[in-house]
Amino acid sequence: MKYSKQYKSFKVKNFLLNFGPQHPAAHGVLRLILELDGELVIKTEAHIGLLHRGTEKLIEYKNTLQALPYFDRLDYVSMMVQEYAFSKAVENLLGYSINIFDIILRIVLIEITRILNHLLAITTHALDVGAMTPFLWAFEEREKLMFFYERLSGARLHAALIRPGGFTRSIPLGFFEELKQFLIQFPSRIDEIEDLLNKNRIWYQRLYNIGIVNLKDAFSYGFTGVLLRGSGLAWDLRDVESNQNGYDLFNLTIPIGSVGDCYDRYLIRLYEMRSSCLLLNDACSFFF
Amino acid sequence: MNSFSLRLQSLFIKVFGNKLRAVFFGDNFFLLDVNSRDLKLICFFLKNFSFFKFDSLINLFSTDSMGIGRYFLYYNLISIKNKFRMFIRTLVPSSMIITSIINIYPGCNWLEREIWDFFGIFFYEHGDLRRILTDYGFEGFPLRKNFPLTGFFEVLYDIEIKAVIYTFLEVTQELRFYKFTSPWDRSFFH
Repeated sequence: MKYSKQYKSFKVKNFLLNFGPQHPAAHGVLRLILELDGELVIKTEAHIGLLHRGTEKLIEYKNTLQALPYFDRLDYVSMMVQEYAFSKAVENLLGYSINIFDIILRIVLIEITRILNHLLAITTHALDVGAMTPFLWAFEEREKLMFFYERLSGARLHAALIRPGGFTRSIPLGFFEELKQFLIQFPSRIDEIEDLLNKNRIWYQRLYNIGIVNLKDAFSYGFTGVLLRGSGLAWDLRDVESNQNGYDLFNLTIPIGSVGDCYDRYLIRLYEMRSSCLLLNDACSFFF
Repeated sequence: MNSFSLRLQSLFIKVFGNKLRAVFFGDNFFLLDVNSRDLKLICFFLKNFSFFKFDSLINLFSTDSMGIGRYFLYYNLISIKNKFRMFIRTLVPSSMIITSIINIYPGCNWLEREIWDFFGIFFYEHGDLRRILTDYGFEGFPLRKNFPLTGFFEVLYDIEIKAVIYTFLEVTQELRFYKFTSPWDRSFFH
């Protein structure tokens, strides 16, 4: 019995697969080089593509106010927030503080943007997982929200409304009444999306325990926002820097995840839309 | 002024007194100016010392001020325990080489690649320092102040060769500056 000599040694080699350059949202075009072990992707090397838009270089040739509209092009699903960040930075550098009325109006605009942003995030995620309906419903709501942008600034997306020192225009008559009308019907739209997704088996299987990030990794890789909250830490810039941004006027609840997976982040985004609604309601009451 | 920022400042002067170039602090702002050779040590200390716990590197950016000490690096750190944000500033030496802190903050991998890509600051011990945002085969460092806005090359499709080619840039119209005198400016009337 001489088995041992019959064994051949051979190497198992992982193979590389070039994914792309293609889709994900078609900006600069993502290319992934995947290292596969059978069907498992064990390593990914991302070539993120030509994503940089040269904003800093363009701004070298502009003055401060001319630089403003570049910022809502940087992140065109949260336009007002980018403008806010730029305006806030300029105001901090100048040592300028705006009045309480403007601070609250900015909070209103940012919260509208947050709802816009989360609607897009949740429903395009659902679209990728395989659910088309929430996407269509949410885009109707997004259209209604963009109507508020349009009322204020004349543009649906790139508003260029928040500028260093205040706003480019004053609010139109009846804005807050319309916002209140929207806020009355919006939570039931969230309910509808939740009805479709929460207990949906496909949604659940493709999100639950997928993409778990523990808290230590979240720290060391510099996570912020929903990702950090999903990993179980109540860190929200609205709360942490509330003495600077005016959120100390409002009640804020910070949802946190328990597992740190995709499902947690989904639930947090839903919750944040609801809490944004409440916050917007509070903010409206300052104005009338 | 934050009491934490005061304690941070006094502790820093005690521990790193001879290594600090300057400390700037004010309302909600704390900036530490350090030598580039002490950067790694100070980052390690900030991350691991239980009083500070600056666990998260949020941002890393560079500026070009066109002088003798030309490039500055700014590290934006957050302490979640203390709810505090601080900046570390360091002057990049003229050799343009600086120590990477990737072993301390793994999140700075792409950030350092981006700085290398745009400013040409080399991060020693990084391990994977390739360009990240510019094209394959790109030359030059585009966010340096001496790099022109329009760049040097343009990409176009050549019908005869039936391929995408790179050619030297030809600009038909010169770059225009809209620097009109403001009507509210006093010099406008005189």
